[in-house]
Amino acid sequence: MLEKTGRRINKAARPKSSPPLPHHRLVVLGIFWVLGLSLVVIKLAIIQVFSHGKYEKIAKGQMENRLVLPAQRGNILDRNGQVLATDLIYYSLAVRPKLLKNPESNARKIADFIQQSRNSVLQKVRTSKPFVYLAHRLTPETAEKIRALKLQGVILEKKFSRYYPYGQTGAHLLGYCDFDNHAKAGLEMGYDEFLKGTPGWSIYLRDALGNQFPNLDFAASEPVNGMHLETTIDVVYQGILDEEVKKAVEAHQAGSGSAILMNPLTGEVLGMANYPGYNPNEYNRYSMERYLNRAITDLYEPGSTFKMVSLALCLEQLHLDMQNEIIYCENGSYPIAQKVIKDHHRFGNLTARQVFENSSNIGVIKLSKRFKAPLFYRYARDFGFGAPAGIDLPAEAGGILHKPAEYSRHSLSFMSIGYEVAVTPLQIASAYAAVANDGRLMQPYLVRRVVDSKGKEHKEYRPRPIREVVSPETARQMKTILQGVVENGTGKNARIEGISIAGKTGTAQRLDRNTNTFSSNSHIASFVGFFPVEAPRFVLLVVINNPRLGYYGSQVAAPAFRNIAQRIIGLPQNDLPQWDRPGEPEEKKSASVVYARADFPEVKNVMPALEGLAVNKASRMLKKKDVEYEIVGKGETVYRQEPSAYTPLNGKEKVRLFTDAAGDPRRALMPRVTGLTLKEALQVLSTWNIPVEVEGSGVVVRQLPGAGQRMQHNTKIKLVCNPT
Amino acid sequence: MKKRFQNFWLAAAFFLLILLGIIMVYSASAFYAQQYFGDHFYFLKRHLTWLFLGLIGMAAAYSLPYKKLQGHTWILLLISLALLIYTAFIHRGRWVYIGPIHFQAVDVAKFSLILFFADSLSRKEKILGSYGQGVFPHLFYVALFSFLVLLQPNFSSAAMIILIGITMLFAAPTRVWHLALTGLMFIPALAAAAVISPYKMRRVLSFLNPESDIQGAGYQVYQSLVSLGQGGITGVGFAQSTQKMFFLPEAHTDFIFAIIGEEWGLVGALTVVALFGVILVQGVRIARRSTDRFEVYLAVGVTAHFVYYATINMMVTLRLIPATGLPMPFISYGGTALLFSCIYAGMLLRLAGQVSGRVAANRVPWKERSLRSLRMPKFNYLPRERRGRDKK
Repeated sequence: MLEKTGRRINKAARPKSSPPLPHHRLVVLGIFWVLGLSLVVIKLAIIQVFSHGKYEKIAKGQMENRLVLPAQRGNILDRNGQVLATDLIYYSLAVRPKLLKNPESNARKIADFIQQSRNSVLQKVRTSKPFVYLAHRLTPETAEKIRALKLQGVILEKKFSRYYPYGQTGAHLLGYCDFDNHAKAGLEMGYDEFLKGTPGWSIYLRDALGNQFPNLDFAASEPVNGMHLETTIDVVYQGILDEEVKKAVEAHQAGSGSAILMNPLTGEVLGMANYPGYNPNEYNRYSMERYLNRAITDLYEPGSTFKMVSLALCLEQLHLDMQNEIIYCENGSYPIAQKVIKDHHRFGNLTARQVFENSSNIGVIKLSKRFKAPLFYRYARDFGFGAPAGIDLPAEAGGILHKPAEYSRHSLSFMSIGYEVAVTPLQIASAYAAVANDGRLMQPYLVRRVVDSKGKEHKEYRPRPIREVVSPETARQMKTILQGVVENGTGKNARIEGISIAGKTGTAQRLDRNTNTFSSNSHIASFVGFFPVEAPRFVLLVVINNPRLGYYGSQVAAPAFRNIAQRIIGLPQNDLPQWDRPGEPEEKKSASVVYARADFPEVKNVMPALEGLAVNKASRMLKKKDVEYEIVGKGETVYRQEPSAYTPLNGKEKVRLFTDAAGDPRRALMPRVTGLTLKEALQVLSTWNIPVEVEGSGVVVRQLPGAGQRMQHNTKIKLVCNPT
Repeated sequence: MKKRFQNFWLAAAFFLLILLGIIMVYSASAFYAQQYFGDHFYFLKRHLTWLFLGLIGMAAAYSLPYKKLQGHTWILLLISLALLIYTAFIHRGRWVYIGPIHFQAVDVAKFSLILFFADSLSRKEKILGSYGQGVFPHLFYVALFSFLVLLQPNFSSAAMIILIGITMLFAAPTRVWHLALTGLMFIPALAAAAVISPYKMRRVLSFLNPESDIQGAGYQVYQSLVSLGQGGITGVGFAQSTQKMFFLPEAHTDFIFAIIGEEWGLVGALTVVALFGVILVQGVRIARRSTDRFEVYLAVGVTAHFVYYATINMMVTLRLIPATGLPMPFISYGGTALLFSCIYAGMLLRLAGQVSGRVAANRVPWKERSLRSLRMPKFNYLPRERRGRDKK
């Protein structure tokens, strides 16, 4: 206080002279300013030296645009090279509104191409967003037209979208892909690692407005397109299965139905159908249960079709004399475990053979008293029950087969007639295929070859024998008894004049989950069989769930079996058995076909395998056999023969050899090739042996004749292409 | 007096800053100019035009005898007051258009205020000890100017006027507590102005919580840090900045320092700091050597103007303070700011010439200089004997 007053007085004392300039204040100011600059220097050092790495990464990240170049998914082909699934090229149209000049007039131009109203396009363009999508799934044709406008700020993004030319046919086998082309089911999913390919990438420098500058300093990687699957499916058979299952389900007002067609010699699945199904092109429109591939996921108690295990035991373990062993069938009513087992017919005394032919539950149960539980279990297990059949599809069920230790007193009785077990339709089909294949169980499979996009084989899948379940002799006896089922027993409805069919009906009551009792009005009707018995080439299973008009397997499933078999036999067949071609494994040839010829003396003359041979060599072979033949088409090699190899010849029929696709009624429809690259289109069309005229290069945008049109010998294919 | 043009360091600093400005304006604006004007050189051409005017202004300012202005600066004050009222009420905005010429009124206002303060302070030193008669009238002008500038609205320039005004008052023989008290009164006023203006508030909030809003209000400053950080010690090289490709808005104006830091690294950024450091030191030196009070205050005002603009611009770029739109003297792209920077440079060079050869009023000879020479007259507690020992 004192000092302050003192100062004031001091200043007041000399008011006339100006006070001394406080130069120290200038120094204070200077120091204050230097401090400010020092703060700047410190922060600069922190950011530019210590955080340099962090910020460098951020700057690179926002500037470099990793552009993913999508890979085209591989095709799925049927056994004859028909395309079942392919990637079409579509374009997404996007706009950078800032760069689009004259938005009014240009939006109008664009709107005409993408079928949207001009106002809605204009509205989308008038936005502050830097990037806006206008339309998706534009065809290459449309994209080409838009590109021809040469508008600044308009971007066409190439995208791939899965297309299934046959729609619902074989949908459960193929599976489907979602909007982003990610596999969701079936073969698409099981073989995704091969199909999907490797996307490529390139790095672009980008400014904050999204303008891109190609950067040559960075490497780019080309996309590797996915590999193609050559499957065992025959789309014609598959179509028949789909149609007939649908017919049967609708005719009997059933809940659902499945059918499986296999080649017993190899385990190849030729077709597999489920109804109701879905169209994979519109995969998102259906309820969940439609996506189930019931043929491999549905568990059911098989009923009589399972009696083949009992039959095998009777023949191989009990060495029963099937013709002379008499079993009393209790006049159709037999009490067991507080239940009364009934037969569909009041049988008295039946021979063992008749017991199986007529599918007498009581007879089989009485026979089963002689079985040993471990042996029964072993046979069931060996036929493939209780474990997944091993097909190359995702989500296959394994079924339930209890071990002998878990059996109750009556388990064996029930199991011998196909209850107390849960199986999938595929397990039944492959067990019967084992019988047809002389007792050898083959692993069912769908993919024969994986071929890369350049056509080079990447992987081959050969038929895989799992085990010999019964001896060839037992198998032969089983075949004759199963043939008797069709000829004399419950399977009469499956009989076709002129061809030998072996099979078995099955009628199972469905277990009611609520009451845990067998329902009397809910059944599963099935029929499984193979033909021709002398040299089986097809195993066919039909399962109809919950039919409301009729319920016996013989009423519901056997007619469907017959219809399918008849249509298959009626077809000019080309491709069975593939593995008997020259150069294929020797042991297969001897195992079934040669054996069949030796043991069935009525088969005197069989059709030789001619496919893949030169035309003149094939005609020489036929001349040697004194068979009349006709050559259809102008090609140099036989790609299909009719009737197919190893069918018995009676000397009257006329053999037709197809050398190109045009004259072949099974191939005469032009496939859709637009959207494929030119190379792939030519690959698809190469089986046709028809001249292809190409205009331009790149992606096929137009084809003449159009997809689905009938081909003639003189047809020329014209493809119009545009570079992508 | 040997030569009028004496201060080599100061002249070199101005020259280098102007040169750096030309280079960096082109480098930072080329992409932007190409994108929006279709011409790489769009901004460079305009920058050079302003620079040409600026050099004329510099020459004029260098040859002007300031002494003769003394007593007449109120005319300038009236002119700029008229301009500010015009921009605050009649034609709202920062720019004044007179025929083909357009300029920022606030630049004229700052110029006038510095000259008027130098004039007024030098003449009224005797009564500056009194608040009512000395300090208050000056503060009144400061408040009036900054209020009118706030109405434009131009928050950062208003704050700058207050800062420069108080700095000049501090250099004069005023009482510190008078100034401190008034400064305390300005703070709530500025804070209120910030709060009622939503864009300013957003900037402050994003400054306080920087990571919260990288895409929004904090985007610019975040990108500025990315630029500087990417530069590292030696930089990415001339014209190699990627941040100027529209990631960093205002790259050639308010955030040009970030591009310098990116392209030339820490080395370049420190060079800029050093050049302003030279101006700072030389400015203080001129003020201290000057015997004429008008020149002292003029030197302080002009130096304060350079130092505050440079420092605050760099601090914004470095996220040391909330974002404001202040250009960096000489380097940021054109406009009246460049013109007036050149005029101030001319003034400072003139003052340097006038004081060269003279010693500061209380200057201690070079050999005897030590921290002690900064001693404050009132608190000279060091015994005479020790000072004598230093002389040896």
